[in-house]
Amino acid sequence: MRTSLPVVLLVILFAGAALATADLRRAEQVTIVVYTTPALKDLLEKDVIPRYQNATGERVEPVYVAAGEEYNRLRLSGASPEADVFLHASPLYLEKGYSEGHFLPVNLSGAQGIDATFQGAPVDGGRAWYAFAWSPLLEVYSPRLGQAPDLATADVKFGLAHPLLSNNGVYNVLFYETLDPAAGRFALARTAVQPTDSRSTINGIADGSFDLTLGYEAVTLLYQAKGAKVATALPILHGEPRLVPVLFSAALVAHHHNRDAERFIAFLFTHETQSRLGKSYFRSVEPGFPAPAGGANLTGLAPVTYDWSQWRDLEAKLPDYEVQT
Amino acid sequence: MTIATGDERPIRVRHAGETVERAAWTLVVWLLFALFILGPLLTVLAFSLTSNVFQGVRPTTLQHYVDLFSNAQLYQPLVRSFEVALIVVAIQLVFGTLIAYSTVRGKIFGARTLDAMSNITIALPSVVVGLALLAFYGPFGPISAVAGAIFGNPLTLTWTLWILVFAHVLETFPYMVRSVTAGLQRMDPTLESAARSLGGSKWQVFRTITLPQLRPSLVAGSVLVLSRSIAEFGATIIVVSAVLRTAPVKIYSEAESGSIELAAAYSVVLMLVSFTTYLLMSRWLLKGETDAGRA
Repeated sequence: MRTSLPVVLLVILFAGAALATADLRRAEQVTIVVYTTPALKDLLEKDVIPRYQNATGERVEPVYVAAGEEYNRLRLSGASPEADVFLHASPLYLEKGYSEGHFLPVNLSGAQGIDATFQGAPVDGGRAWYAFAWSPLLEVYSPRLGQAPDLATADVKFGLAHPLLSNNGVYNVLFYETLDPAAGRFALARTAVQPTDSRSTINGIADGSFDLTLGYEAVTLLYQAKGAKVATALPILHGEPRLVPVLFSAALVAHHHNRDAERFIAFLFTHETQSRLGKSYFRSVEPGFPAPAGGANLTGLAPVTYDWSQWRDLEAKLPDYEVQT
Repeated sequence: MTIATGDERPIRVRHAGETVERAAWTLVVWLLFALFILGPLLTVLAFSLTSNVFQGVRPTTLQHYVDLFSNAQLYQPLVRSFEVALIVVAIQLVFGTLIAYSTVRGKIFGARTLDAMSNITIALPSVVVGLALLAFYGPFGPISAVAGAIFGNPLTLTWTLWILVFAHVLETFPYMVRSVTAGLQRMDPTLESAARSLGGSKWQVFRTITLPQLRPSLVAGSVLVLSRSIAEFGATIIVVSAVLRTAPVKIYSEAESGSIELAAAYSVVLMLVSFTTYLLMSRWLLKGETDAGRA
């Protein structure tokens, strides 16, 4: 019997579709999905993920969306979440998610060397989150302003990140509400554009959308290395520099489908990963590792610490920092 | 102005005024084309060849293309796009043909209503299609509730391959149905009647008479479905999981996270691949139609 060309092509098409289905299903089953912040993009894609994949043969897929959006995405998923791991710049959504049952306790066997600042409160079975890297909050400003402006008095265009969508925005609220709420209102009155993540915050200074903002040291150094024309200093409030640590934290998603998710979290705390953080402009949570080249001098500064178990108070303040049009 | 010469071909004499008018129109049309189509596309190409747009657009490097093809994390969404499109074409060849055949041949009740409704997803914003699927098959939707009530375990398709395929099937559905419907309407129905009267079964007639005549329509529908599926973004961004991110979604996320040069390189590759696929399949289609015409 003679088989015509169209029939052969049709058979090839259907066989191809079957193979494609099998490949896509396999990809779904073997990949660890990490919800994370664009601030960690270079660190994850150029260092952590390639090394983890080489070491384990597993695939890791990062998803970069603004913090608030990712949290809502997780809530929409019900008992079948897309993500296995959350890596975020502020523990607010991790504490909130844990209290609402979206996260499981993380149990790190080698966490003894980690300072209490970098750990969530103890819960049954471990802790709600651990910070694996940190970065000081900086004031980032246009070089044409000359010297570093005082955040309480600088009458310039501010670009405070969106408090409900961005962790950068959460840290702005934390900074002002802890140190000087009146200065926060002063800055907000001069804010028209609210970026939704730490990268677009720095971009806003580089492209001239605004003159002054608060951003992460790691992201700023990365953009400066790429040629962005921005100036930085530790945030100056009433003439004094302040140190607010931004905590890049990990949490384990409840009902996660990949059983190796915890292994990926543990990988972030290995000696090798911690020792390499500086190369991507982040700071290690364990003592003894080098600070990033060009990083701020923190000698003699006491950090402004925050008790993240009080996240509800901070969350209640967030809407006050949204620019109303 | 046209002058009759007594010859078969009239000679067209162009006055200076006509030439100026033609030149002006040419300028306007090409300017608009350059402003809205060519300009943006060429800028994307220039960005893709620039190492860092912060330092000025200087198209001198192929590094982003090297990165794209050497990093699985980057090129996999392109592969995923084709895999999903292939699955969708296979489904549409069966599903779209079945719907078109049923409506044109009046095999079902409400055929005309179904025919009219098969265009619905063209009219709907694709984001709405994505949200509708997420609502229907998600953890708070009716399918989950019914499955939970019957089996005690709620079924949800959120972030799975199936909801992504459903979204693309819904978005591309009208293209296959319309194409096959047009083919069926052009066909001489007496051929099928004659074959039946000569003793052919329904399946034999469909396979040996109807399907061969539908070939150009099926190819045309497949080309449209393939192109549309590869380019689909609105519904995909709502339903796609990170693992199955398609090329357009990857372009969006790269641009969003500040890697505008890489997003541009990705866009150029996607444009080239889509255009080449379209061109090859269209040629095959045209050849098929020419052959059919000769026959």
